[in-house]
Amino acid sequence: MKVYLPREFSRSTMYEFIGQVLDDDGQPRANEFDFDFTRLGFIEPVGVTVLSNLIGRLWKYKIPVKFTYVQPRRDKKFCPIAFLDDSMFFRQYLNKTLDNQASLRSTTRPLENVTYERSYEYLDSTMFWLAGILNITKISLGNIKSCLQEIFNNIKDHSHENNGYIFIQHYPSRKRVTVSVSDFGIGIPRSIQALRPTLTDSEALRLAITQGFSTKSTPRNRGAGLDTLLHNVVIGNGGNVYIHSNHGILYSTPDCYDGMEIISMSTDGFYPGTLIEIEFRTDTIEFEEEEFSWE
Amino acid sequence: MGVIRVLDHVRHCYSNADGLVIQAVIKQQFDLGNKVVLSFEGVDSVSSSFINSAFIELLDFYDFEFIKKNLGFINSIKTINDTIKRRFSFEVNERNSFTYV
Repeated sequence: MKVYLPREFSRSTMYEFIGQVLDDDGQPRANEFDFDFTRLGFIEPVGVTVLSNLIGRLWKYKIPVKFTYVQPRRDKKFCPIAFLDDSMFFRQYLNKTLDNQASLRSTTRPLENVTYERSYEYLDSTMFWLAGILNITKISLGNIKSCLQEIFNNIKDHSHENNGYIFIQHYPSRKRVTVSVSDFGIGIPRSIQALRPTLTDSEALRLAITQGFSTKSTPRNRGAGLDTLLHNVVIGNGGNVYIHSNHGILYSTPDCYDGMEIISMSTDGFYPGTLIEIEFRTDTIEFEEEEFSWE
Repeated sequence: MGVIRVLDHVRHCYSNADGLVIQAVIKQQFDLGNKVVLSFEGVDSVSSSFINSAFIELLDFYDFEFIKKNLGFINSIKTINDTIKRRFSFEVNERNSFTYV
């Protein structure tokens, strides 16, 4: 079954693409796929993560996936195939880059499928990389590292999967780092609706980020992970968090009162697991030693 | 009162399992009648899972006033301090009145 990647692969356009490949139960719609890249004009970091997670899901079902593509246009300023090739996407899935000019860009942390067991070392080495390109100390990135730890702990505790696909892109001129992490587990709403079946997917996402609410998927779970993630990103860093899961979307941004604004909505599109995109600010990172006080 | 360096007992402050190791160390000292000062020297990040198991679960055995009098932290950073206090604040002040939607 041939499926064309959208002209612009983003959080908005991913649903239609996923829907052609997987049904609402996350089951493949065909026995083999041809992902056609020839109409792709631009792909956001989240697109790379989603695409990889999707391929991983199909391989798990032993569904073959082939690609139809054109060679990278390195004479063009923005060539999505060149971006993918430099991000080592084609090396990951074809065991080779498309041309011999492919090289990892200094602003990109290549796509990886990270298991929980390897996640600490992955995050540690990623902070080392990020500290290098931002010219700051690794310990200054403690807040960012702890945020990503929350995501991997969340995957382990709730998704019924043990790994996530992660892709990181630095935008120096915008002073931002974008991290996209995706798993194709059962999804946050479906996990919550096992306990609260009357909730919509949007309502379930709202509940998931509420401090104290837990599905008790593991006995020690206290419902703090997503709340801590949002607090540390939005209030601690001034960044943004976007969560797409099943038919729900939730995003959190700083408001004008040093707090956070949270918007949740339902979508006709379906995301089989959970996608979290975090946009960190790099101009608010600071290392603050602080004496502890209970006050 | 001795200083206990967290990284002498765990490699990182990441999982519930890491937290349980530190919880056991703290409880052992409390049961001996000792105050505990935990050093986060070398620690750049802690997760909420670690905090829950290392510190919040102490509330199952000791009341909060006892914990505040007998547990302290040094060599810490703002993010770690804020998360510890925020977690305790919720569990002590809001957990019992927390209602699900």
